[in-house]
Amino acid sequence: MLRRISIAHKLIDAACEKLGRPFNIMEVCGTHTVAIFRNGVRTFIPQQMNLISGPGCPVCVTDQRYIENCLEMAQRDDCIIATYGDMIRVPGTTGSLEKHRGTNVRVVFSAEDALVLAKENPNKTVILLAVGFETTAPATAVVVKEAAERGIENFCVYSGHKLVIPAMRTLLSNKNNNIDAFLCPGHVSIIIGYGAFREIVDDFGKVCVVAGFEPMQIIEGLAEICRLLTEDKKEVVSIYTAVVTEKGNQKAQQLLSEVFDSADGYWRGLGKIEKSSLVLKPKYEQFDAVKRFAINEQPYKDKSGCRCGEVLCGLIESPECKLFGNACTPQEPVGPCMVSGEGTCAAWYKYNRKRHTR
Amino acid sequence: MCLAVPARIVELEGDNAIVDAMGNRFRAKTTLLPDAALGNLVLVHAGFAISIIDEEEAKKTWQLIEQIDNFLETDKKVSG
Repeated sequence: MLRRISIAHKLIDAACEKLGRPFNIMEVCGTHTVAIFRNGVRTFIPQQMNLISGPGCPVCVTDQRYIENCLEMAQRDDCIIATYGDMIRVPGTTGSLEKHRGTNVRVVFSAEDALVLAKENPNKTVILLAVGFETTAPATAVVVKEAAERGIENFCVYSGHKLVIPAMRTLLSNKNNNIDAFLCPGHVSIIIGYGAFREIVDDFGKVCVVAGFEPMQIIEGLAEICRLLTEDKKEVVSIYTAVVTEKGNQKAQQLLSEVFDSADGYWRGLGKIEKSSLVLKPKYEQFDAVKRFAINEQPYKDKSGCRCGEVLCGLIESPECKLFGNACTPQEPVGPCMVSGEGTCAAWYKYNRKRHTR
Repeated sequence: MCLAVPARIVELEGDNAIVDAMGNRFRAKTTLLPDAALGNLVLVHAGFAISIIDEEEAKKTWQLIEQIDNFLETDKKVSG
């Protein structure tokens, strides 16, 4: 392993020298963000290689309106909110879901657990907060189909599912973007296949490398990006060959297209992005919380001074936000990037704070 | 937060599996992997197996998980 690391290092160093200019690599996966910080990758790469964290944490990119709506629904005693653990502490104007935990709010490990809750609580409507990218959305598709087949009427889904590629396209469509390459998300790619990133290469001329999450994968992923950049090859390469195929998990894709339509969606920081969110098809609208509860979907104006939006677009680094480490800490988070275990601000706070405390 | 854990299918009935990850057993669905069979190692994300994985890759991830100290005290970071 040490030999492989040293080869990767040499490749990175040589590439940086050959390129002779600073270059920017964006990762669009919260798990990559944390792995990069945890392994101190930023500390040993050459200065001209700049790593930027992008909109890769699904909780973080979730629009504040969605959070406020969840909090509103959590007040209803005729409902049970079923949520994955990472949503529970995201703050809204009236606190977080945490304060209803155990009563109107339950943490689930799997979408399937939400269906079980519905069966156990026939007098309540169970609302699954379905947040996540393509990796998580197929599970939601499965349970919606199951609810329809088994006639489980007291179950519905509040879909906050988002698609990674439209967000990458939006970032690149901004003429001021300075992204040279993407370190593409490993587990999203299991579902969509590495071939899905070809449009980023074809339409924007960027390098895309899919990598896994162990330190070796990340370092070799960065080395592969360097190789492609120095050879001026605009390509998609997957080095996460153990699980990522070109076409992805076809069964999961089929379920996604059976249950969901893509629709315009609001992202924190990125705003409205065309065809970037997944909404239930009309056939399944009885399981759609938006339809069932006439949910307000107007954009939300945040007044907290939180700059998570800019962090998510790679426009600023977390310590540049005035709230960082002062008003906003993992114990008392203001924005979602500090709440989520995989948020960029939380990673800066945990691994890099000393260097940046003002 | 597309965390996924390698686990072995130790019981399987239809698409309902019991899987074992580093001695922890839990329920997982194999709906997204119709070919998954008893004894297979799979990558489980939010209670669903999303990919078959080989022994070597699974071991690497298990070792990594062992090394990771709990990043923050958030529960069950599974969505995404």
